[in-house]
Amino acid sequence: MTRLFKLAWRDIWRNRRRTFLTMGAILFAVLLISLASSVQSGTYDAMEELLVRMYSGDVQIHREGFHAEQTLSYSMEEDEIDWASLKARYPWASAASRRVTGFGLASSDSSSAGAIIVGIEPEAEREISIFASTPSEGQPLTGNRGAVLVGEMLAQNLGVTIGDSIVVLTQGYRNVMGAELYAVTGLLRTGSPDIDRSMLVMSLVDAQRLLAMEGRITQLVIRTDDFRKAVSYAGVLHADLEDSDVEIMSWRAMMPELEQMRTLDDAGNYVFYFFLVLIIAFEIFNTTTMSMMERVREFGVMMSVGMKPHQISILVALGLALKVLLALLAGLVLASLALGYLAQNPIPLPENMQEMYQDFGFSMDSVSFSTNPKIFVFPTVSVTAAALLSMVYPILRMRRFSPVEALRKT
Amino acid sequence: MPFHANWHPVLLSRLSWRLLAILLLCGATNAQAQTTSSETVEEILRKSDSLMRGDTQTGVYSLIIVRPDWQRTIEFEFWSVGTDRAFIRITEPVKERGVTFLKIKREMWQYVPRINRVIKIPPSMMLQSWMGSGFTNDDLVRESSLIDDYTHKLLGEVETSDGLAYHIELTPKPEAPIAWARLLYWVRKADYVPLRAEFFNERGSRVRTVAHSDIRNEGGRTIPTRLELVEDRWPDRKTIMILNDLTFDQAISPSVFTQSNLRRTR
Amino acid sequence: MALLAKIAWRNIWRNPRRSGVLISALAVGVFSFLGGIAYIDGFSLQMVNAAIERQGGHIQVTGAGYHQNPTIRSYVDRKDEVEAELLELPDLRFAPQVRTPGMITSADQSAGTVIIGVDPDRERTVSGIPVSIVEGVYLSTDGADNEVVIGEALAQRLNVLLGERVVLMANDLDNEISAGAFRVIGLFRTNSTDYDKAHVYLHQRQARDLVGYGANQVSAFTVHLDAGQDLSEVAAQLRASLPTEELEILTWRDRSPLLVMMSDFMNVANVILVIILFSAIAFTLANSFIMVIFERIHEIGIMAAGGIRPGQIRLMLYLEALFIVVLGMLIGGILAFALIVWWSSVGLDLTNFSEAMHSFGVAAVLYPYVDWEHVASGFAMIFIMVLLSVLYPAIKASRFKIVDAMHHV
Repeated sequence: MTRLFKLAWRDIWRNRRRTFLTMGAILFAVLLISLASSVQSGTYDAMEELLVRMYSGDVQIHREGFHAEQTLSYSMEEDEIDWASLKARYPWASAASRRVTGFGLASSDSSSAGAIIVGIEPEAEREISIFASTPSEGQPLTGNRGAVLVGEMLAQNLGVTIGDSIVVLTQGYRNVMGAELYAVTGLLRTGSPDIDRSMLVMSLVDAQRLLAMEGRITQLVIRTDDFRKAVSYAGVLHADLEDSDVEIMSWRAMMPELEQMRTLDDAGNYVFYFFLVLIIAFEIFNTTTMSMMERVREFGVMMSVGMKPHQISILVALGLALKVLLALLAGLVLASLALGYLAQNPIPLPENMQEMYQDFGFSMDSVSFSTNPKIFVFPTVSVTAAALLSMVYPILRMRRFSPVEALRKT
Repeated sequence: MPFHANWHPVLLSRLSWRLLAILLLCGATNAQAQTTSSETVEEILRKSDSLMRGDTQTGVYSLIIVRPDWQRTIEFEFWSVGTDRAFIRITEPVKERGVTFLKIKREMWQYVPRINRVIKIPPSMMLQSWMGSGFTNDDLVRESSLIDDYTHKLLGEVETSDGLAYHIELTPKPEAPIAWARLLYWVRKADYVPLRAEFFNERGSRVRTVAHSDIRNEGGRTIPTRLELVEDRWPDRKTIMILNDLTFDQAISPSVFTQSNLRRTR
Repeated sequence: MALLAKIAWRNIWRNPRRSGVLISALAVGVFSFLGGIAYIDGFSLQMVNAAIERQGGHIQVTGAGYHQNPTIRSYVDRKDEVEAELLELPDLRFAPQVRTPGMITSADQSAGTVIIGVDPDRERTVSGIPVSIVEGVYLSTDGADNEVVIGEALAQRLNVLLGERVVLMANDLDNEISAGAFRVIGLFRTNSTDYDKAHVYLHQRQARDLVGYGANQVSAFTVHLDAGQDLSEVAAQLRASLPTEELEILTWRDRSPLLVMMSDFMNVANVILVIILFSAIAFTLANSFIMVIFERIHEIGIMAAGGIRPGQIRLMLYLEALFIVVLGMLIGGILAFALIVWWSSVGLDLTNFSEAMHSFGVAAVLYPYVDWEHVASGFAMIFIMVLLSVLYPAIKASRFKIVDAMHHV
C-alpha cells in the first residue's frame, strides 16, 4: 500500500500539465462556489443589517404581548431588566437603549395627522438605530427636552419645518390623556414612505411624559457584537430571564418576512448551485476521463509487466484522490485569500448607488462578501462529491482493458 | 432577498383618547316619552330608547375603567343640543381638569389648558377602536339605530330583580352595519327602563353584556344611572358609566357651543 | 478555404470521443448558463414584484398629492377616461382601486385596516391575492352582495370564520363615519403576516359607497408591468397621454427609495453571481479545448511535416472550433429551452422539499425568467471565449518545430 501510495504520488507529478489541469479545475470550482455563496450570504447580511439598524435592533426585550398588540398596557418598568448585570454577564451584549413607542395625533396650526411616537435615549440609541444619528436635515436629538425629529413627509403634510412647533395629542398609559408642545429640530428621511410619513422621534423622558409612562418603557433594544447571532443570543436571554414576564425577540422573529425570504432564496439557490456544480462536475469528469484516455498506452505497459488491473485502479484512484485533496485544500486557501483580499479591497458599488445610501444615512458602499466560515461547507461538500463521482466512470472503464488492446491503441 | 418596508400595522394601531370625542357624536335625538296601552315590540323599544335622550341634555358623567390591577375614573360635564352640538369639560382627574371638547356638526376641537392650545381633531381620528373602555365606537355611533337596524321579537315577559320586564330579541337586518349576530334586551314593563343587553356572535356565544342599574329619577325621568359593560373574554375588566345631575330639554345658552368657551375656565 | 472547412468537418468526426467531449462541454456549459441566469432573473423578478405589488404596483396613477398624503381626498376623478387611455396602451395590466384607512369590526374585536375596493376581474391580472386564497373564494365579478376577503391572520384576530359577518367603517368625503356589513367569503395568506393582518378587500362598488365616491371615481390605478416592459418608458407614455395636472403618475422607484436601495443592491450581487457562473463555464471550455489541442500536437506535427502552412493549420483549428461551438451551443440551447419551457409551466414548488416552507404558499413556487438580453450576451461571450481559448494553443501548435511535435506524446 505504501508502495502504491508512493507510486501514485510520483505518478501525479510525472505529467504536470495533466495534473495541473485536473487540479486547476477542482481548485477553481472551490473558489467559484465559495465566492458565490459568500456574495449571496454577504448581500443578505448587509440588507438585513440595514433593516435591523433602521428600526428593530438586534434583540428586543418587551412585555409579553407587546409585539402583537403594540399598546402601552404591555409596557414594563424602566429598570425591570437589569441591563448592567446582563452586560456584565454577557460580553456580546454591547449596547442597549430603552424606548417608548406609542401613537398620537401630531398637529400644527394648519393641519394634523396620525403619528408613531418613538422615545429614545439619544446617547445609547446611537449604537442601535439610525434615529439618533444625524437626520437628513437639522440636528440630532440631544438630551434636551421639547425637541422632536419629524418624518420628512409627515412634516410636509403638517406644513412644518425646522424651527416650527407642533402639538402632539395622545391617549397614554392607562388612558391618561397627553398633550405637549414640541419644537421641530430635525427631519428624518429613511427611504421607507411608511416611516417617513408617520414617525416622530423624541427623547425618552419626553415620550414618557407625553404618554403618561413615567418610569416605564415599552422596549429595551439591544445591540450585540454580531447581529447574525441574534437568535441564539435571544435564546440565552430567554433562559436567563425565564422568571420574568417578558418576551425576548430577535430581529428575525420581529421581521419574519426577512427570514422567510432568505429561507426561500437559500432553498431556491440550490437551483443555481445545481447548474454551477453541474458545469464544474462535468469539467472534473472531463479532465479525469481525458487524462485516463491519454494514459491508456501507459497502463498497457504497466499491465504487461505484471500489474493487475485492480492495482492500476487503486493506483489511479489514489492518484485522483490525492489530486482532489490537494486541489480542495489549495482551493479553500485561495478562496480565503480572495475573500481576505476583497475585505481589504472591496468592490465598490456604482457611485450613484453609494450616494443614494449615504443620502438615507446607510453606510453601504461596496459589494458585501461574507467571511462566515459556513460558506465554505457547501463548496467543499459539493466539489468533493462531484470529484468522487467523476472518478467512478474512468476507473470502472479501466478494469475492462486488456493489456494487448491497450497497447494497440495510440 | 428581503423587502421589508411595510409598517402599516403599526400605523393603523389605535388612539384612544377619542373615547370622549365619540361621546360627542352620539348626542341626543328627539324624545318621545308617551305611553300607550297595546304596544308592538318596536314601540316598547322606541319608548325605552327615547327615555335616555332629549332635545337638549346636560349632566355630569363618570367613566370608570376597571382593570385587575388598576382603576381610573374620568369625570366630565356634558352639554348637547340635538346631534349637532356638544360640549364637554373634564373635571377629574386633576391632571386633565379643564380639558374641553367642542363639536359642531362634523367638526371637533379640543382645548388643552396646560399648553394653552386649541387643536382641531380630524374626523378620521374618531374612527379607531376604543381602547381603554370596553365600548367600541360602534356602540356609540350606532346606538340610535336600535329600532331601524334590527328586526325585533318579543320573547316574553320575565321577572327580574328590578321588576317584570319584556324580554326582546333583536336580529340585525342583513344590510345593517352591525357586527353582532343577535342581541337580547330586557326592558322594564312598568316604565320602559332598559335593564340589560347581551350581545352574541354568529356562533351563538355571548361576547358582552351591558347591565343597567341604580334606577332613579334624574331630570324628571326615571332612568338607569349606572351602565356596566363586561366582555366575556375579559371577565375581570369592566367599564362603568355613571350619570349624575341630568337635565333634559332645558334651554342651553348658545354661547356654550363656541370656541371661546373652550378656553373659558370655571 | 472550402477544402479546409471540409477537412475540419471531417476531423471532427474522425475522433468522435474527442469531439464529443468538447461538444458536450459546450452543451453543458450553455445549458448551465441559461438555467442559472433563468433562475437568478426569475427569482429576483419574483421577489421584487411581490414587494412592488404590496406597495401599490409598478406604476400608480392617483390624484395629485396622493403619495405624499394618501387620503380619500386625492382621487382620480374621471376613472372611465383614464381606463380608456390605459386600454389604448398595448399589453398593460392595470386595475382600479379604492383605498382608505378604516376599521373592521367583528362581534368580538375590532382592528384598524386598509380597506381596498377592487374590480375583481381586473384585479386578478395584477394581484397575487386572488391566488392566495387559502379558504373560501375570491370576490365575485359583479359585486352584487356585500362580500369581503380578509387575511387569515386578521380573521384569527377578529375571531371570525368564513361566512360570518363583519362591519367595515371608514370616513367618507363628508367627514361622516360610514359603515357597512359584509360577509367574509374568503381568507388569504401571503408570505407577510403583517400584510395579512391589515388589509381587507371588497368590491369597488361597496368601497365607493363607503367613502362617498361617485361611480367614476377611484383612489388609484395600479399598473403592473411584465418583465420585458420598460418602467420609465411606460411611465413616460402614461404621463404623455393622461392629464398630469390633476393626476400623479409615480413608479415604484419614485415611491419607495428603500425598495430601490434593496433591489439595486441585489442586482449588483446578481451580476457577480452571473460572472461567477460564466467563469466556471469559461474555465471548463478553455480547459477542454487546451487539452484536446495538446492531445493533437503529434497529429499537427505530422500535418506540418506534410507541408501544410502554419496559417492554414490555425485556420483549420479555428474552423473545427467553430463547428464544435455551433453544434454544442445548439444542443445546449435546445436542452435549456426545453427545461425552461417545462419549468415555466410547472414552476418549482419549494414546499415539496421543505416542511418549513409550507407557510409560504404560492410565494414558494419559483419560476424561471428568460431575459433575452442576458441570453444573447451570454452566447456572445461563450463564443468569443472559445475562440480565445483556441487562439493560444493553435498558435503554439502551428509553430511547433516538427521534430518536437513528433516527439511529443
